[in-house]
Amino acid sequence: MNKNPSPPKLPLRFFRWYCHPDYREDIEGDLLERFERRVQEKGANAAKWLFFTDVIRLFRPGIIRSWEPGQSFNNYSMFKNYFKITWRSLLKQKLYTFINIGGLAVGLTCFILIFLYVQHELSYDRFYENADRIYRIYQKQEGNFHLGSDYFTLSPAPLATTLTKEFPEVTHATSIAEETALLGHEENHYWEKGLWADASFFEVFTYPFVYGNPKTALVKPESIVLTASLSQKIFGARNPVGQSLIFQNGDPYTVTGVIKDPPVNTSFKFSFISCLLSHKRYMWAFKNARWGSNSFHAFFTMAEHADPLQLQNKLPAMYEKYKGNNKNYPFRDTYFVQPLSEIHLETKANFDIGLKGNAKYLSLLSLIAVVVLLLACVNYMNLAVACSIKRAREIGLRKVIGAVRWQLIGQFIGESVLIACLGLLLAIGLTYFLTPVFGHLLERPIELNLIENTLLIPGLVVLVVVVGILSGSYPAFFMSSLRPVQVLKGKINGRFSGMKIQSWLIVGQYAMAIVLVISSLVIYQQFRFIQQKELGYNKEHIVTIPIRGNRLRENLEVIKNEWLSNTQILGVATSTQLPTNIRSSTIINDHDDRKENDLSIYETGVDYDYLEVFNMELIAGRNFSSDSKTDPTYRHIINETAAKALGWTPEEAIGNQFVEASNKGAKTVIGVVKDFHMHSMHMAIAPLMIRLNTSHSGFLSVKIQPDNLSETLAILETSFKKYSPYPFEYKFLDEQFDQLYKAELRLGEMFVFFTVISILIASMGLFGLAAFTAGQRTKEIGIRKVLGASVQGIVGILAKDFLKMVLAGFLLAIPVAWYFMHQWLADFAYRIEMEWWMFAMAGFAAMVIALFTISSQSIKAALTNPVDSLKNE
Amino acid sequence: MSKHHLGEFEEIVMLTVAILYDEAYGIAIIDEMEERLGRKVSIGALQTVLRRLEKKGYLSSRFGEATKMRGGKRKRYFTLTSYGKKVLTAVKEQRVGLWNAIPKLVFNE
Repeated sequence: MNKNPSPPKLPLRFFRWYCHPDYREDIEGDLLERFERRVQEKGANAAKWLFFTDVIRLFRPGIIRSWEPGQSFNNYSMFKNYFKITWRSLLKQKLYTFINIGGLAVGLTCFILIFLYVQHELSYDRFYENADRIYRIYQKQEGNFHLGSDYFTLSPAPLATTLTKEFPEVTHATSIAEETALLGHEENHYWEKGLWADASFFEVFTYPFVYGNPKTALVKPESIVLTASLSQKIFGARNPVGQSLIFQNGDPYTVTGVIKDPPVNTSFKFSFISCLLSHKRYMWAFKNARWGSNSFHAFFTMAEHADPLQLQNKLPAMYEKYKGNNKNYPFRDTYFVQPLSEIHLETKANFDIGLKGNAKYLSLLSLIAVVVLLLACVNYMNLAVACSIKRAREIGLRKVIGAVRWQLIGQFIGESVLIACLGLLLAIGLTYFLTPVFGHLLERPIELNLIENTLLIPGLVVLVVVVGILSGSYPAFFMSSLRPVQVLKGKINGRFSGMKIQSWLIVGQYAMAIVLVISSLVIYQQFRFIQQKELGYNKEHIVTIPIRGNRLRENLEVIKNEWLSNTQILGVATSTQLPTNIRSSTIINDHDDRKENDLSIYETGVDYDYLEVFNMELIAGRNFSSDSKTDPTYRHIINETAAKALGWTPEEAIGNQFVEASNKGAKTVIGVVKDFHMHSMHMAIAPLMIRLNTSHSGFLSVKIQPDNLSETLAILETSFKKYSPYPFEYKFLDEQFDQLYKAELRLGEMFVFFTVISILIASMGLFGLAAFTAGQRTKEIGIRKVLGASVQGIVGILAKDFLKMVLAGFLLAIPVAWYFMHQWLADFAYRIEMEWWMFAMAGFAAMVIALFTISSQSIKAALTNPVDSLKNE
Repeated sequence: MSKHHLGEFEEIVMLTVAILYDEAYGIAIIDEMEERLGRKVSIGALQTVLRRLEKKGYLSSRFGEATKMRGGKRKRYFTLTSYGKKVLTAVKEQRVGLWNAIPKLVFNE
């Protein structure tokens, strides 16, 4: 037995830890005295327990020590001082402040803009009540390549109803077709984008109705539902339900409902929906269960918790059960289920419905956003470290007074967060002005709405803190490591360890900027190449007009002659498709019926004048002739590639025959046309056959004299109006051609934009650093001048270090740029080679810009009178 | 008058310190209060009040000699300052004034 039990150790230690040091001794004495007495009175265990409770009850303000290493609970004056010092150092170094805040603002602006774009792109089709349960069917026909893809989103007419019939987990399914149609009301005609859809449409897509009933709106044939804005346009403010509209085929359609205008972030762009039961081709395909004819989009909702993949696995069995008369079709259909939320960014499939985003650009732009922001952060780091020498005394003094390291780190990180906040304010202003421009460039209605966009404000706060910490941490750690004694003695010079990291940061910055410059150059060159490449046809001075309505189609000959009587008009041709983009294709066989000799071939229907208007060159045989009675169905012109694919030289091809899978009878080749680019340069020239087809023409192509353009267009319009109620829509062929490369063009514009910005930011950083180094070396420069150095010599010395960094950046950039641009170019079947001069030019440009940036500071330093720089020693 | 406001517990502590005169340290004060008022007081409650009164200038303190008891820790003795005495007197006079102002009838029943 212990005669003198000691008090429990842990509570005692706890007490010693928290107690104010001034009180520690006597209170501990009191505790012990009481403990000793209690041991006598109540026994050791009770005393220990009571000792513990006493210690706990002493844990209260008044006894607890202050937690600050210095003292005092009140840091207010310290923070006030931090702000004051920050503010003063910002004002004292206006140039650096400007570069820092400006650079961060530009970086943040880019980031916010791209964030808004990405957010917009990802927000498509989420507004339906059951959006997460809506899916669609798309399919793959292995080997049936069209425009480089064997996926497409069309499906057979009976698919939607079969889905609901066969699978209980499919709750509603609807078939959709797109059509732009002419709607007539009283004397007015409206050319509007619309959808055909069946009665289940509003079960799947829950559009809110202004007038009418969603359950019955599309039940009867010849009913039509309008959007609020179209209803306003046609009927004004009144309720149009029950009114009739004349559809383009002349039938009266009854308005059965009005829906609110769909939001902008929707894939389906339409202003009316008409009942699919009036769609002749659909009804025909539906009644005859044509599983081989794919012309409609099938969308459906699934029950909650139903697995779309399970459904997908059941689809082949369904197809086998229903395909019926489709046995002879050479390609097998494989169906896939896809959620609605993915279709906006789905671009691999052909014939897709709706407005498309571009997932590749989305990730590329996100990358650029991060890179530009990093560039700005790097600037901040560099300048902050550089400036820290000027603030070394402050740091030294703070340390002497008793600041500990983490306080200084906190101070500097806080400072950089503050600067990032200032940058953000500026960035929000800039973004506000730039969103319309940027949105126009991307063709998206993006806007900066701080209140409605609930993600924005928290996002920006997080962004500022991250940017602040990211860019402030290195300077903070660096500065807080300075030794007070050395600093206060003034023994710190420019050659400190930070310089090394700074140089690498500059190298990295320039590498990124140069990568962007090279990319812009390559994209620009490729674009020029496309513009100037020999296409095989003439695209200049040709006006194209879509042919709509039977009256115009019946009067094509009349209108042609009317136009040709004018000297301004050099030629008129009709065709089913324009030569810029031939999309329809078929399958032929060179008459031996062996399946492996099947050739997938593009086809287009033209009139007698087509080859002449487009200046296409026949390298063998003849054009279609109106004299020859047999030309229409049995005589075809093919292109060189087709002749080669069929195993003939152009000359051999003439008179040879082939069969077409879908049409009976042998076709004879009467001519071979020189290859021309009928698709974008992404794709190699494919086999093509040209047939005579004047009854299904889709376009009028008019070759005109380039002068007096408006007059010529007026002539075209007057004749057109005589035969068509449709609006006179014309496009120049070269415009259509450029449309093919819109994505590339946009990419190019983007790259130029971001290249300029990244160079701007990198230059700002370099400028700041150059100014700083020049300032650091004033004495050295003064002595050099006294000893007889020339201005050029000094500028050279100052510039040399920086140019070395740019050169290192350039070397780093070459492989990166080469890799990325190689990837990009690989997507084109016809492309330029990357040449050394593109790299050299980018490097040279970077050098010149860098030299220009640093020269003003270097020359200023070199011109200073040595007396001024040396006198205050 | 409210210039020298004293809480009830504060007042008792000061009075006890006065009673103990030269021997007023933590445990002694607690014992005294327990004995005279039958009131249990924790060290924590007492010590905070003592420090507060010292900070206000009503009490002053000094260390005693180290002894073998109490783990060799010194005691801290508290005494009233003259300011503290004045405040205590003022409080007393207020009370007496109040008592005197009570009509005789109230307590004569």
